[in-house]
Amino acid sequence: MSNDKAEKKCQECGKRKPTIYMTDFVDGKPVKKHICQQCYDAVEGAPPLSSSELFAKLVDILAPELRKAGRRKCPECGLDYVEFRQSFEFGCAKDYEIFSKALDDLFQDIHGANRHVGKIPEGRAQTLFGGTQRLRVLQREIKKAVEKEDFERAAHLKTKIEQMEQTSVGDIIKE
Amino acid sequence: MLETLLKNNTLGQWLQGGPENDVVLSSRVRLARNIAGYPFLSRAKNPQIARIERFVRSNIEALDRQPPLTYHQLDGMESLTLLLLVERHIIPRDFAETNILRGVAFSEEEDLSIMVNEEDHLRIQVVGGGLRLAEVSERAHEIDDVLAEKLPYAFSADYGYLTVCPTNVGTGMRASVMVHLPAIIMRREMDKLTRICDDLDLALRGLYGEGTHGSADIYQISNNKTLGLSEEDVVELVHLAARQIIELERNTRESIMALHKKELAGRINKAFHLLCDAVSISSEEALSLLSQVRMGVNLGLLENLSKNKIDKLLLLTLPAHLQIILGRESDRVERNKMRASYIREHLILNQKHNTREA
Repeated sequence: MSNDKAEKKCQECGKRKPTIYMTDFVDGKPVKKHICQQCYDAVEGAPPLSSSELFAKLVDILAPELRKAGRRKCPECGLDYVEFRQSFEFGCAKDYEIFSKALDDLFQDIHGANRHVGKIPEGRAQTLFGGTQRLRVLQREIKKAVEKEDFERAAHLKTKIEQMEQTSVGDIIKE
Repeated sequence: MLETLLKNNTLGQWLQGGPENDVVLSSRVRLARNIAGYPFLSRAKNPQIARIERFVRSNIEALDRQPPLTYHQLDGMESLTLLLLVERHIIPRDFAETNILRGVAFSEEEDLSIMVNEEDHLRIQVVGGGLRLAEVSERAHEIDDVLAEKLPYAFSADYGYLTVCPTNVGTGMRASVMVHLPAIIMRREMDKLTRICDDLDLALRGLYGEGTHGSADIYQISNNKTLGLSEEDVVELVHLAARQIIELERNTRESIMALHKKELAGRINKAFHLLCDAVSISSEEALSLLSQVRMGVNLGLLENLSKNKIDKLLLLTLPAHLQIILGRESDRVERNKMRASYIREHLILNQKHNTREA
């Protein structure tokens, strides 16, 4: 019996000593396997990280973002980038401007893009920042509209550009 | 308000029927907006929260609509009423449970609701029965445009509509469809469903949102990304997924019918009789059995039953609805008994009615 055990090899690699019993699913049917740690890791992913490893990893991920975000606090709501990353909630619209360098990367990760291509608000809505870029967005929209042969929309966007020059950020409602 | 919700005996939009209704229960678009010049709710102090609520509310109430939207403040509202709104998908569960000055305005038909001080200052939600995302989206954006004339939205040329959570920034738009997938679940083909969603980068959630499982085999599919794609792109993406899922569910139903019609009929009959005979039944159990019966009706396996009746039971036997219909709050044990008798009454009555007609 004890000899049998000593001779057993991992059912995955057939080389190392098996230490783990696991149930795998092959074509939807459970198959019991006796395999070694390395093969288990390969299948199930790395073993869970210790808290210090986790922290180090987190710092690695955050470091480039933090370098770009800097240590500035938002002058309007007081949020800093570390706080933002902890809660994953912005405190006010200004944060987007203050942390924009880091956010470009973060949004690229989350959304696979970091520039808005959709609707532009009508009426009173305020372009809080990036006002010069708004022109670019509008021009991009016009190009898209022309490509789709939606000339009505293209003309509409053109009037918007003209209107833009007349709106000011100053008249935000404050009761 | 409660009276109107229940008196009209309406089902809410998500059970109202519509295109591709055998699989798609409803289509929904939600827009997240914040007001420039105010901090987001994550950092706002109580007086600011109150000012935002007043400001947004007054603009909602000024909307020119017939019949006008009615606005309801949620704090101080009875918990049962809050739960009723959640069950009808007028507000999400989180919103019912937070504790700041907040409210919701909704239309009599429950196809439009505007939430104030949800995660963002303003959330516009439009729902329609069946698969009709483009139309629903258009309606949401019409309301949005009207409100934008009065409300200075927080917007940046780079990042679009600015939201509390970075996962909503850009269009601030979530488009979703609610789908009934009994055959896919029965055949354990969830992996195919997950693959469709993964390939199009869409999120798959249960009946009542994040973290809930597919009660009644009902799932919600919605876009993950909000930045870098236009509103039309989002609608197209979710619509495409819905089409693929409809095909998968229908094919699966057909294949079960072709190969195992007898077993399926037996199973659905059993579900029907369990519903008719139960002395006590939990909400979860009722949803699961009603789901099978709904498929049975769709496949013509239960002829004496209307889908509308089943859809009604799916909603009216949820905990808050049941307690309000019966006019009193009750504990789980009592509720389960009431639910069983309520279902029995409706199903058996239905049968008698139909046999008499036949």
